Amino acid sequence: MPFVLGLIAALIFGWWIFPQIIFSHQEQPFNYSHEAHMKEVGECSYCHYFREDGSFSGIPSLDSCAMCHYEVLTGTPDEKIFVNEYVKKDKKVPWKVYQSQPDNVYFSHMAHKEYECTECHPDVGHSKTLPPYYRNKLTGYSKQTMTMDACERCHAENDASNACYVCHK
Amino acid sequence: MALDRRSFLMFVAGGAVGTGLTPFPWKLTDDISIWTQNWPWIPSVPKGQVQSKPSLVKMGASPYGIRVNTVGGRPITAVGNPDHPLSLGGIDPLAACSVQMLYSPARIQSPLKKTSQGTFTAISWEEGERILQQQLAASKGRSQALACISGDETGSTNDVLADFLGQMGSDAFFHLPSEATAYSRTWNDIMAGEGNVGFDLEGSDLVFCLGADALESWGTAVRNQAAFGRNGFRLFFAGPVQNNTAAMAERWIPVQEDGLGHLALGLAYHIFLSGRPERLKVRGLSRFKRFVLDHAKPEKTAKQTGLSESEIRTLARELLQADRPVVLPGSLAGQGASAFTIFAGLCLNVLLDRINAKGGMQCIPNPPKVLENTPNRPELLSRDLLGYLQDLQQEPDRLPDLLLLSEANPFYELPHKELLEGTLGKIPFKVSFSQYMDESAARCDLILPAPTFLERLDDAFTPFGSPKANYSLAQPVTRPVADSKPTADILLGVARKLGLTPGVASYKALLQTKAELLGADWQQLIAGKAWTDATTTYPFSLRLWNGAIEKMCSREPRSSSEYPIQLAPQNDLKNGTPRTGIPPFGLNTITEQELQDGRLSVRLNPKTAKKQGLREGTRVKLLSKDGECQARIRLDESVMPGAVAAPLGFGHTHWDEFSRTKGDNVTRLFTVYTEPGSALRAWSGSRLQIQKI
Repeated sequence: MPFVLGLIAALIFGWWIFPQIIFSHQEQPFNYSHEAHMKEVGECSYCHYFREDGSFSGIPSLDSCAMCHYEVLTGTPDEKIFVNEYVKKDKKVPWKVYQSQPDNVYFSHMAHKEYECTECHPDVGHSKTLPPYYRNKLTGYSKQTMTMDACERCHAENDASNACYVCHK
Repeated sequence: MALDRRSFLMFVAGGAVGTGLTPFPWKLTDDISIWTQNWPWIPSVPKGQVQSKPSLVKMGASPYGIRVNTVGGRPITAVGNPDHPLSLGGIDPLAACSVQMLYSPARIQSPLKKTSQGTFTAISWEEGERILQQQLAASKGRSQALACISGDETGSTNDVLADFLGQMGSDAFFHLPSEATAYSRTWNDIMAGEGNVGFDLEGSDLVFCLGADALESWGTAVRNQAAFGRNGFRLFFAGPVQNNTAAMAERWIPVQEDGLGHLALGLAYHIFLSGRPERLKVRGLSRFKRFVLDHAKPEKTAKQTGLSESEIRTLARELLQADRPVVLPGSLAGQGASAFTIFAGLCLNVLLDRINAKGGMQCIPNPPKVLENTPNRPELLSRDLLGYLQDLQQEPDRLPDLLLLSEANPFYELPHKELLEGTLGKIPFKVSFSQYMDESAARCDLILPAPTFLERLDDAFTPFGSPKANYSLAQPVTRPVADSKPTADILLGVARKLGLTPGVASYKALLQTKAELLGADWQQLIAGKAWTDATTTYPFSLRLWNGAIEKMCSREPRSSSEYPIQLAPQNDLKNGTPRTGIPPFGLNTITEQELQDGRLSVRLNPKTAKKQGLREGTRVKLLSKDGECQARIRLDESVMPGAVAAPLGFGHTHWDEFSRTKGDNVTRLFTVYTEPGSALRAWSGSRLQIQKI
């Protein structure tokens, strides 16, 4: 009986309590509506594009956003925060990135451009709010960050090389 | 159920088995490994768009185009610019550190004012400019009241400074002594030549370096290296040390620095005997010929240089037989050359008919004049700063009230500490426009920090040694790291407040006007392409003879029983310049031949060491008439007997942890003398004694 109790207690801790302890829910600097911007620009690649050298732009720079939002356009509270606290102060928005990879991982978006963005990223294109962000208290990375086993599994399923140097240069 | 020992152990065992069936141990192990990658002191890779932006390196050595790689707008690395004629894809070890130097601990972060306790306190730009304006207003119209020293020979900030001083009623604008100043004094003043001297190494088949460390630090060193690598010209080097240029040369001709001019005259003797110069039409040729044939006979030259008569004759034959030879006279330290050495070397180019010839010496026209009160470039370069300081020492009443230092570090770079402290040190109010807390900025009363070349718009017209006229722009590749302002814009603003008429609205407008006058395309300049022009000016007024030469030549090389050893300074860009200190990256490349345990290493030929009773590792004091240094002896057969090779760039008293407390400053050993005939203050070939300590 004590063995079973210990087993159940460990299972409860490992599967239910530990995941809640290790991650903390954090807020983004302000809300961002992908839906509202998709109505204006029509496609994801208007803001998230490949540069001429093949590198991926990722989150748009402050200058890119300020091309439209150099002053308050719509008057929403979130836009006011953005314009007043960041654009006017020339301060980069400290977005919390859901799928940031460690420095020792080299990831090329160009090499994966045949796949849908949503196969790896949350499908936020038509959402009014940003997904909740859970930060790993030890590593500092997001809960959604793709881990090595996911990369390896996909590579194996698609006959892509799983050699170390493919991702670790 | 009682909790006995057995039950407890069973509970723990169940817990252990259960834990193994959860993600807890595996996730924790994985996360801990990732946590160790992100400790705050571990540098992280910047993320963002990778770009390559053109710029122009200006760190106290010869300027040339580079490209700066940025990630997310932040500069990461500097590399050579293949499209720039003075880089040709190359970069020197100093410029390679330029991005890191943006964040140097010695960087001045904001305007500073010296307090009554002698420390600095941060002030606003408004207050800094107000103090500057007050000081300048007190000097306005008084010809002796204001002086300025510039550490940059090529930028248009000099035009603004010289014009400003002119409008204030002062002509005391000086460049720090360099090869360019010695050349200008010799070529423009003594030889009545025109324009600026350059050298077409690319077109030459034999380059004879008469003391010029052309592949390391002399002139357009990066372009010199590229030309040597691409064209493979034959290279001869004459000097007391087998330095990097000599190491690459086909022939090293060991001659003490004060014998180089005599070697050149000895070669001129053989060139005259060959009859080659007979067809030349140059003023003073026959008188100069008579002088050379009388005073530079082989046996005399052999005695003066330590070479054999046959060695000199063979060398002259090589020059005569080459299709496109060129001679590069210079000094090992890149400063303090005697006009005699420069004159004699340039005369060889004249006698070999190498003026404005392919692969020869080029006479490059002066830059266009944008501001009315700016003297032309040779006139500014010819001014003798050491002479001015010696005059001030003689006549203290003439001491200016205000000194402006534009990216100049004279308290470190200039010889004769007593002279500096007794003149510059006594000027009541000194203003520095330095980026770094160098030895001179620390002595100033007000510091108005300038942006580095990576943070500002700037230019360079035809750096010394260029093969043809060229003009390049530096443009900001990053936002300013420190709270700084371009010196020229500060002065233009103050000039207006003082009721002067600056002539241009802004520094950018001045550069645009200069580019327009040159016929350069501004957009091309912005894109990192240099404007070049192969037009030369023929020196019709050139003369090979005036009374000065006889007197210059009269300063015979002679050993002294009190100071028997001749100093052979080694100028290596990896050790930085007086304007940069030792760059942190450079520290890793310093060898025990230069510095060991914080003490300077100097190199002696074993024969010299034996004669002096010295051994490998002996700790010594080097003493000259004007200063002293402490060092450790290293024995090295690549130094000729009678010379001591000592590295420049050490002995900083300010800057940061990377520069301070590292060896002694060898410029303290330079012995300044007034050269007979030219009246130039020179210090090449300074003599020393070595004492054990």
